[in-house]
Amino acid sequence: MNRILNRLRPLPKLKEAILGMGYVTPVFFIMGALVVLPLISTIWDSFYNVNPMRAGTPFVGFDNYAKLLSDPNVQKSWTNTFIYVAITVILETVLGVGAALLLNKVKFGRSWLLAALILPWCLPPVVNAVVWMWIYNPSYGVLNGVLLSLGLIEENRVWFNDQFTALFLISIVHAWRMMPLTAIIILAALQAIPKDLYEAAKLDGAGPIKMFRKVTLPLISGGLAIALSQSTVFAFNLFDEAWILNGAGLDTRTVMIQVYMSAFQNLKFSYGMALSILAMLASLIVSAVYVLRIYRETRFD
Amino acid sequence: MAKLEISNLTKNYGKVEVIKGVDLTVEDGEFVSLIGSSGCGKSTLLRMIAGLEDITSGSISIDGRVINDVEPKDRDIAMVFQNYALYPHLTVAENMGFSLHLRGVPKNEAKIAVEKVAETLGLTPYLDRAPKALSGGQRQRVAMGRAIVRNPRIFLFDEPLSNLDAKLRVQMRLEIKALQKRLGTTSIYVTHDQVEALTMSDRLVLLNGGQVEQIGTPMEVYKKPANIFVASFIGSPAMNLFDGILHRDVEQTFVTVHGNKILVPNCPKLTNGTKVKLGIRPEHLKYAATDSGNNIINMKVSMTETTGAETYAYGHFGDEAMTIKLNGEDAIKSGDKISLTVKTNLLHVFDYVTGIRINN
Ligand SMILES: Nc1ncnc2c1ncn2[C@@H]1O[C@H](COP(=O)(O)OP(=O)(O)OP(=O)(O)O)[C@@H](O)[C@H]1O
Ligand SMILES: [Mg+2]
Repeated sequence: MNRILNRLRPLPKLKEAILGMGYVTPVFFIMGALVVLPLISTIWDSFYNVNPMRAGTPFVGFDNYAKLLSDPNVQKSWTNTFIYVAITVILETVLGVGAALLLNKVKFGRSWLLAALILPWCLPPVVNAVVWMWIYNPSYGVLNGVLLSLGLIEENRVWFNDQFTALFLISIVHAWRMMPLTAIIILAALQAIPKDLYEAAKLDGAGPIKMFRKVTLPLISGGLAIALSQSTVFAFNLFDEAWILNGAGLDTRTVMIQVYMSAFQNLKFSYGMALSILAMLASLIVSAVYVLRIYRETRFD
Repeated sequence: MAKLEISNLTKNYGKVEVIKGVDLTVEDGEFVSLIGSSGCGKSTLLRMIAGLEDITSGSISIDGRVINDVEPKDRDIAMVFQNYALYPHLTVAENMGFSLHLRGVPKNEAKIAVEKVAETLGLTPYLDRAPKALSGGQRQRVAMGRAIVRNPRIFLFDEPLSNLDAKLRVQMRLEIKALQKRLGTTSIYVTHDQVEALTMSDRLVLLNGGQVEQIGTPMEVYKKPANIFVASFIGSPAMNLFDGILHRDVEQTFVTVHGNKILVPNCPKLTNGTKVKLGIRPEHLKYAATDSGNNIINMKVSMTETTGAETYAYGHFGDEAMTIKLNGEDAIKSGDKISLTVKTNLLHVFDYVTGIRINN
């Protein structure tokens, strides 16, 4: 009896702390090995000149970064990437929130609709891009077909001839694939809102628009911040869609494609690494900005 | 200021009839409770008044104007929900001022109104807190405050005290009652706690399976229950019911129960020899001086309970179970055989088949 009681006694502070450390150690090592170490070594290498075709890895300081700033291809890829981010984040958020609101209203067969909605997200990015490549095909694509039959265009168009059309069409492909994730995150947030809050708001005098602005939106803001930051991060990392639909074309080149080309086609490893570090910082900063903004704006009205 | 009239109201969920033709008039400034067992349709009826549920047929009107198709937001009705339904992202002050804000009342005007109500509810120190940083009782008050600030035509309460502990419940009960009297706002209060209903209401409505069993003041319902359902629902412990045969001769009416002759009030409609149910409240049975004669109940006690102030004894009269409520001092124990008596004017006679009250 006493032995059992002894064992049930709370641990002393120190022992408890050691136990806690014990629990987190495995995660600590896994994250360290798979995330932190590669990150550090990437940062480290970006200050050197690592090139398999040359002997030695001389220290070059911020040289790589300085060159990046003046490289016109890199500048172009940054502009493209920011355009992709803007279009896809807006598309994914508007469509995702809309889909979630609709699904939240549906009473019957919600799980089937949900399954259908998730489908594009389950497709491998490459497969998804190939499907859209057929849709956009200049000679037999569905897009031309539909627009022709609606009389909106008079002859088949080569969509990727115009840079902004191309950027927009590639954004659609990416948003189509990623929108389900936003929808699911928002749907979960919507379903966590107690029904009687809406009833209370109805009696308090809220119409549908005020209800959304004053009750729904603030209460899904947490989900919205998560959805926005994941859309942003994925948009900064956009690669497959642009690569498959338009290859290395400068008009549609993203920063990630630029990284790939610098590092693995031109074999300037350090140059690519420096660029990827910048891309990471950019996506972190952008998502941090609106996570904080949403947090501040919606906590209390 | 509002008079609420409900006539022949029904509600179906698919094929299930939940409210089956309710008629009710609530006078301006009146406090009316809806009471009944779980699932009898109290909340549904309340929510229909609020406009949160569609009306299948019948009508609801306020001051003579039918509001069946008026949006909840335009009914000018405030509701206090069972789990308060406070907006978690707003402070106490913002919660209370939400409806004013939606209506475009100027900020400083709204602020004054909120502060005034907060003062009367003792919420002033909490105005800047989030609801989750409040105790249950405080949240309850905020919910009340939110309803009061609007100065609506009607208050609806759906079991607002059921999440509070017993002591706080008594306190809030008194506060709500006092507030309602002071504001003079027409109020409908749903509860399944008969003590709440009896103590707070001007009148109460007993619902059973979507139908009204009786509407009356607390005293009417207690003294003259319209039928067996009301008789056994109101009063604690529940009324004793015995099977008996009604007899009447020239000078008296009486019921025989297990061979004993119990004089009852006049039952004009019944003929000699009719089977009836005789109702006696546990608190109306007193020790008798003799064990035979008129109005005697012989009880065999099988169990007792005491709360200190009161003692309940459970047992049988013949083969029928019965309960009595005695003074806490009374010495009584299981196995006792006691004789009890009851005054004729406190007795209730019900039709054996329909359960409807027969005596006046
Ligand atoms: N959406 C619905 N669909 C079908 N039946 C329903 C629905 N809502 C309520 N009911 C039924 O209507 C009846 C009345 O419900 P209501 O909530 O009004 O009961 P209540 O008297 O408030 O009970 P309680 O004291 O438990 O709150 C119940 O039998 C319930 O099962
Ligand atoms: Mg209810």
